[in-house]
Amino acid sequence: MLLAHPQTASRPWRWSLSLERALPKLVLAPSLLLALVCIYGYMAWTGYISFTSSSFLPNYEFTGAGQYLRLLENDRWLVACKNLALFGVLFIGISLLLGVFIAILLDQQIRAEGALRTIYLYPMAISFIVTGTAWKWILNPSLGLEKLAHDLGWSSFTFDWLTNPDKAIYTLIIAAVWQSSGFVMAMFLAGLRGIDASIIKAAQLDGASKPRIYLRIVLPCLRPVFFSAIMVLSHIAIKSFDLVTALTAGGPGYSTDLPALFMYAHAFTRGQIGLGAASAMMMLAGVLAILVPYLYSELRGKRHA
Amino acid sequence: MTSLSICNVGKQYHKGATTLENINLEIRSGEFLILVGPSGCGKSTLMNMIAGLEEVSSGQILLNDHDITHAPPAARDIAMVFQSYALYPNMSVYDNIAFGLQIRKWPKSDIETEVQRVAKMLQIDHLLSRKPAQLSGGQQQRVAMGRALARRPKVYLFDEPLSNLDAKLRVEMRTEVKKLHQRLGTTIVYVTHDQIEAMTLADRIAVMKDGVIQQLGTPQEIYQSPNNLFVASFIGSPAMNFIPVTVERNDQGLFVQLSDSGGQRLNVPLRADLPATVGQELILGLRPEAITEVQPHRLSQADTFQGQFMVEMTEPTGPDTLTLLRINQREVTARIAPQANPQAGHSLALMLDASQALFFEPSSGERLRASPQQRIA
Ligand SMILES: Nc1ncnc2c1ncn2[C@@H]1O[C@H](COP(=O)(O)OP(=O)(O)OP(=O)(O)O)[C@@H](O)[C@H]1O
Ligand SMILES: [Mg+2]
Repeated sequence: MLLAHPQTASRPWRWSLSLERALPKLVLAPSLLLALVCIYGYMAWTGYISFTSSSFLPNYEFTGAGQYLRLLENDRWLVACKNLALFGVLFIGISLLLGVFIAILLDQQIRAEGALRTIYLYPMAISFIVTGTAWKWILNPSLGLEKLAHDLGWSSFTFDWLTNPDKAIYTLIIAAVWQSSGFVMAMFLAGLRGIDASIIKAAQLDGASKPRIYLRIVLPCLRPVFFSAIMVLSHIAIKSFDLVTALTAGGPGYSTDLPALFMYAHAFTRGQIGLGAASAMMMLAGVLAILVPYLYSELRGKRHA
Repeated sequence: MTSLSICNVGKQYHKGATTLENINLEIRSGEFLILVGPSGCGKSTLMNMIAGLEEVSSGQILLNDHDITHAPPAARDIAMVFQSYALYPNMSVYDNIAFGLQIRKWPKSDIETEVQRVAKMLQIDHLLSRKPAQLSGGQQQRVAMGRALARRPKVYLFDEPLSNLDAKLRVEMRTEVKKLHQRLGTTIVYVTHDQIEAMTLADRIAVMKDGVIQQLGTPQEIYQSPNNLFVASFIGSPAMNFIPVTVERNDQGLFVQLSDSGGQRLNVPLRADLPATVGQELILGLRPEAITEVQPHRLSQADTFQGQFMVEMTEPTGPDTLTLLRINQREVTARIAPQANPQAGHSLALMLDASQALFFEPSSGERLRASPQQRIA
């Protein structure tokens, strides 16, 4: 065959080509392996553990859904879930409202917008631990706001939410909103900037007032931004552990317990690994319940576009 | 019936930087006024000020003799069509057209009939349930016009409404806009970059440059007697030819000299009423259609000259062939019938109609005009 001749000459060339092709895979392989083992592997392991009677140490004897039943009867777990629902709804809702509102205000071509934007975005750069600690001081009746009001002569002022079991959960919301609404603002500001200014002009000529323009036209156009913001915020809500630890540590009592805190407490300090694993799986289910429909709609949208 | 007066209007976006200066325009009821000018000369700014979308820095805007200078856009009863169409992306075509009516609290049934009427007129009645993203450029353009028509406003503003369309559709829509204006008879102010659009649509054209109106007149006036070099070069495609010349005198009066490729001199007389002096430098402006193939029956007319020219390049456009040649060593474009068969590198006998020649003052760019005193003298 005529074509067979050049083959010897082209061998080294082929080698380098296949190396070139394989190189990205080779480079990515360790991290992929790490992700597979450390994320999905341990997820599966936790899943298995949640079906065992593990206590202080993992034990691999399958015992069925007992841990889940115990979990559902556990008072503290129910409080944690209720807290999460309250915290999640209010935190996401208020952060969105506040973020959108500030973004709209900043979009009115005001002076010093850059400086204001940075100020609002700054809390995002601080870790939740710092936020929690700072707010713990601010809200502490004998250190913060209440003392300040007293020192200024307003002696009847009380602000004891941090120590009030019925109100303590709201201090978490205040701190979390403070931290995250700037981020929501940044997302929406970017979205607002992407909207053609002549659309707003056209609506003005149509006679619409500013609030109406935003409600009827601009915000509906930002639906994808709402989705993304809700996604990110619900992640923060479900995972929030550091903020609670720093601000209330779940107290007073376990009135501000959240699932993440519950999981940590049971798995690592109370010697109930099985129960902790079961609660972790419940949290995973919660995240998936939000993530899957979102990804589904996103990916489907992409394919159609 | 609506007239629009723009009196001494100026605009400064920043202190010291004047975007518009002393704009004066009287737009008569039912008139189709077109603003043309290079990019950044302030056309959109002026439109936005008429619409109330931009503060007026100085001067007054009157609508039917009512001062609307500082009225909010909604109170002016003016509709605008934007270059980007500016359709509301989240609303259906129906809602896009109906939005302004809903805000004006029209009864539902009236809105329905009005939207249908406008949609029929613009032939978009089969698209009413679509979203803007599902429409072609031309269809979006129609919806944008429909939105403006639905309110039956006193004045329509069009800011380059056709510039995002392809050439064929642009011509179609141009005709449509003209028909629409003839049918509705409303006052229209229209911005365009496209001078063919300007020439074909306008009752009057205002040519702007750097925030100043250079000339306001009918398309014919603007084309045939431009005020200055800028207007002369801006209007007309291909552009007017400009040839620097020096004024000389012989026994018949003042003249300027042109020379063809063979070095033969053609003396173009200056009209006696033009205020020129011997030795003065001028710029002679000659439209490409004033340089043509030789038409024997016209040769006998006054101010018509024949010369021999070397063709440097040809651009056939179909009805005529644009031909590049040199007069006084200057590149000049001529508009020649294809039958004359101009060929690059060949010499060709051509005819110059100097009666259409215009003369401009080089430093100021102003056109020399007959001054009344000299006409008497
Ligand atoms: N919001 C603004 N702030 C400051 N300067 C502006 C603003 N809008 C426009 N300008 C300036 O005013 C001048 C006129 O702008 P305008 O948009 O009216 O031009 P135009 O004639 O419509 O141009 P084009 O043909 O490109 O649309 C430009 O120099 C522009 O930079
Ligand atoms: Mg413009």
